[in-house]
Amino acid sequence: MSAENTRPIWEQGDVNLTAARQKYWTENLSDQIKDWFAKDAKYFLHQALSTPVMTVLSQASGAWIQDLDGKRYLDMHGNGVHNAGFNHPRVLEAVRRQLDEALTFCPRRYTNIPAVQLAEKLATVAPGDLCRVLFCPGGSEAVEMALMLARMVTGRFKTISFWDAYHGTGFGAAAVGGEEHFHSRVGPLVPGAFHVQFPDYYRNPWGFARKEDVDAECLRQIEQVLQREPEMAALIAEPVSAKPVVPTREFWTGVRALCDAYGAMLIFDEIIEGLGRTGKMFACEHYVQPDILVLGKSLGGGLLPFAGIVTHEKYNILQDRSIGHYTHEKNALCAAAGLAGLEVIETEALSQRADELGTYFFRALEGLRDKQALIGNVTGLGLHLGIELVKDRKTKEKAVQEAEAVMFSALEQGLSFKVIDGNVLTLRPALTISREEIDLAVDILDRALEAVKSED
Amino acid sequence: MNDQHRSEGDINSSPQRQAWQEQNLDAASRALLDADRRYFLQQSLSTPCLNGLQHCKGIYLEDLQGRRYMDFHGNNVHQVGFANPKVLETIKQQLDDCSFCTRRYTHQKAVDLARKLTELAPGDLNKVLLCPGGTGAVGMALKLARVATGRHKTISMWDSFHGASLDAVSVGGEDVFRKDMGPLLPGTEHVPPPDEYHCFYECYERGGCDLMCAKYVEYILEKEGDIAAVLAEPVRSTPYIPKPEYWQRIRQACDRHGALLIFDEIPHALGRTGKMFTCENFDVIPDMLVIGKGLGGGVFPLAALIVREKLDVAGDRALGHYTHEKNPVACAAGLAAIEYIEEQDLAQQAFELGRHALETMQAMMSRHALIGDVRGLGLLLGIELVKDRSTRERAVEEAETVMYKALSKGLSFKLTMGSILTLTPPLTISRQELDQALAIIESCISEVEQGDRHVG
Ligand SMILES: Cc1ncc(COP(=O)(O)O)c(C=O)c1O
Ligand SMILES: Cc1ncc(COP(=O)(O)O)c(C=O)c1O
Repeated sequence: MSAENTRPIWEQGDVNLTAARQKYWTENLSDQIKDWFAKDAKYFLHQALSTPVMTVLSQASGAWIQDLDGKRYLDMHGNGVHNAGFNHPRVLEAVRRQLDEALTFCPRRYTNIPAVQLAEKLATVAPGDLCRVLFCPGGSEAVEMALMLARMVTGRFKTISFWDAYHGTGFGAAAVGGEEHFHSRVGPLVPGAFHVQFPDYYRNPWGFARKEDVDAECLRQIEQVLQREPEMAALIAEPVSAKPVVPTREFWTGVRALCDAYGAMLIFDEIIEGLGRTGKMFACEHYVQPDILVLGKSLGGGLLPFAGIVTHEKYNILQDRSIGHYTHEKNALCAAAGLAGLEVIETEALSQRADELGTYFFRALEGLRDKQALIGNVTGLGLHLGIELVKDRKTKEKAVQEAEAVMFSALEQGLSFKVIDGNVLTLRPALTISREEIDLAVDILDRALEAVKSED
Repeated sequence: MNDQHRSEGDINSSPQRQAWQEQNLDAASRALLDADRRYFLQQSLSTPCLNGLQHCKGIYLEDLQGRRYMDFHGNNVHQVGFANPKVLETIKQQLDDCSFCTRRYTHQKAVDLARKLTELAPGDLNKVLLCPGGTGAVGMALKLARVATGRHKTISMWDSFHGASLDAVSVGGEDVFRKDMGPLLPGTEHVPPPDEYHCFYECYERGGCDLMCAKYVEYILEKEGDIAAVLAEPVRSTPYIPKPEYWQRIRQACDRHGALLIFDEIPHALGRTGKMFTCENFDVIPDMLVIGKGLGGGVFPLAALIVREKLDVAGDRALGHYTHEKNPVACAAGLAAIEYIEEQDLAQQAFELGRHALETMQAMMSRHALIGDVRGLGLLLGIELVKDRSTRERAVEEAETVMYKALSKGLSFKLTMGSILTLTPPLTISRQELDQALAIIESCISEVEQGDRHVG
């Protein structure tokens, strides 16, 4: 496959159709794994980002996952559910206790104590006066609830969001997402979704080196849309992009001001970044307060699907409507898992840990950059890190094949992570990870980069 | 309150509900409801909730005051009863074994569940995709229909519910979700549902169903010429039970016009209608089958899209990109639920008990003028209350009063269209318990007929 015609499908992750992936399968799958792998391919619909899968897992615990042959991988992806680590004993215990209570599912016209406790907890920890909650099983649905709430509150329907963003798979969430992969060949999506560029301080089409200039250009794009489409319901974004690009405080302050000026709501999708990952409980605490905060993934304690929105008191205006009408809205087991996960994050001070270890990890990666010419840039906030591989530090040409080769080499050495945008290695370990494990990851990355360099 | 709002369920702002709560709730229950009301966004069909629960076990809900209610609604997750011991035990074992699997990997339990579903599903419905919620699964079906046909239009039904996201609301037909929501997905044609009792085409004036409603679907398929899919519940929860010829005719028309037939069996698959899948009652095999709710064993959020082999055509796209696509605990729960349904022969049980219940309801109808119609398919049952049998005017207030009276006597169920007592007991119910529940309903109807509107 040539780099040109496959470029767009890398945005959300490494795809499963490449030659390097084939080679990895041939060389690494045991007979036992091949057997299950083949069945997976037989019974599941094939998609570019799941089946055919990488390999078959038998365990996920702490910062690690393990395949059927017992091989362990330090997991720097975890689909974002593992802020408290996989299989945390306290979360497991809470789930078991809830199972023994014989209160798991709760029909949605009734309420129950765990659901209310989780809502109360979120209202307490969420910044400012974000205090009204609504739950659903998945992040994608939570994004839809946020969009629907914004429509109801503003009486408008248009949105601004960012190219390359992922907000979920439903047609509403996919419309505000900015990826070819979820846009093309599926026909018309929900109308009114305008897209602009997210700041990128390392790589931007204008060749700007100063952050202020990048911010100014991105704000200009937003304002330009708002001037022509002033009836905007909302702007939705991840405060820190998946890549990650960490915008300046000035950028989000500017966006907040534009939203206020035009009466558009600001929605932050913190499905990945919320609950400690960036070194604060919520990523928005580095910046400005949104009108709606969307949470998911680790909200289910790393075990159960659970997600939701948190918003202001004044938006509690839907008494005769339904924006979230999800069967599992009040699932007590999901709520108990989420509550336990939050307690772990608090009692183990995982936000602070993400801050400290994030800095440690970041410095180690910068050290690696000094050694490995393939690394063009190291970015991130807390334990939400990324390294961008380039063929040439001057031209910044993306080192796409190299990135994939590094990924598979690391995988063979027991380190799992995801590649996005073709050349960015994204590193998002469990927040319970230790310094030694970070050292191990850095060593593996070093060896993988070294091996790929010498192959070239 | 506009009666149209009631198609999905009884709403939470009626005077009867207030009266019931005043007479039945103690201080602790009220405190929980107040907290629920304080932290959750209010919506017409959930918060403010009716009551708080401390257990959901077997066929019973138990409130904070220790009162037990047979649950004939259960959001339709409870085919195997709540907190089914086999399901709970399996979940605990799976928690010990492997509690999460990220989606670029697979897990044996996910594969086992997919295989089981393909074995159970009729015809060549052989390919599966999983996600946590039914809404998401409907979205995946719509996306696949677009990719497979290269078209985007759909035909679905007024009054139907397919989920709460913007896409699912677009194909759904209820104003509580659609009204004031602004532009939805384009190309979603809607038709009146088959309902012999309140036929939009007034077939009751012509001696009963003459399939005018199916002919209208055929008409649109022909006129538009580029419909991607017809999406419907084979039987509405209401329940509206069409003649087999209805679906057979539409199946043939879909084939003639290159449209796919998608059945949303989220609430009723896995035994409720007396067959494993509802479509088996009609001798029609859809191109895609969407299931959910009870698939999670009454505990976990879990849904599935099951499609014909030839529709495995989106290998380079992402149809569903859900974090919990391969959650092993969810899949283990699903497998346990299906095994339980098979071991206990619950589909057959539903068939037999359903027939018995329908006979009992018919006898009730001969004794009570308030009952305009009784319907059922397996343990999906409905009693429609009318003010006058000749005009068939819906007895909305009476139905609401019957519902709250029944609640006071230990039976919980839901109303649809304001006037239909919709009864979906767990399939594990005994004949004696079923008789007891129907006797409660009859006594409540008698009281209302005698002018007793007391709901305490
Ligand atoms: C930023 C973001 N938003 C939304 C979602 C969708 O969440 P879910 O997979 O739970 O539907 C994801 C999941 O990958 C995400 O990363
Ligand atoms: C027919 C039908 N389709 C779809 C859904 C949506 O399922 P979920 O609530 O799991 O998203 C429901 C749930 O009530 C349903 O009854």
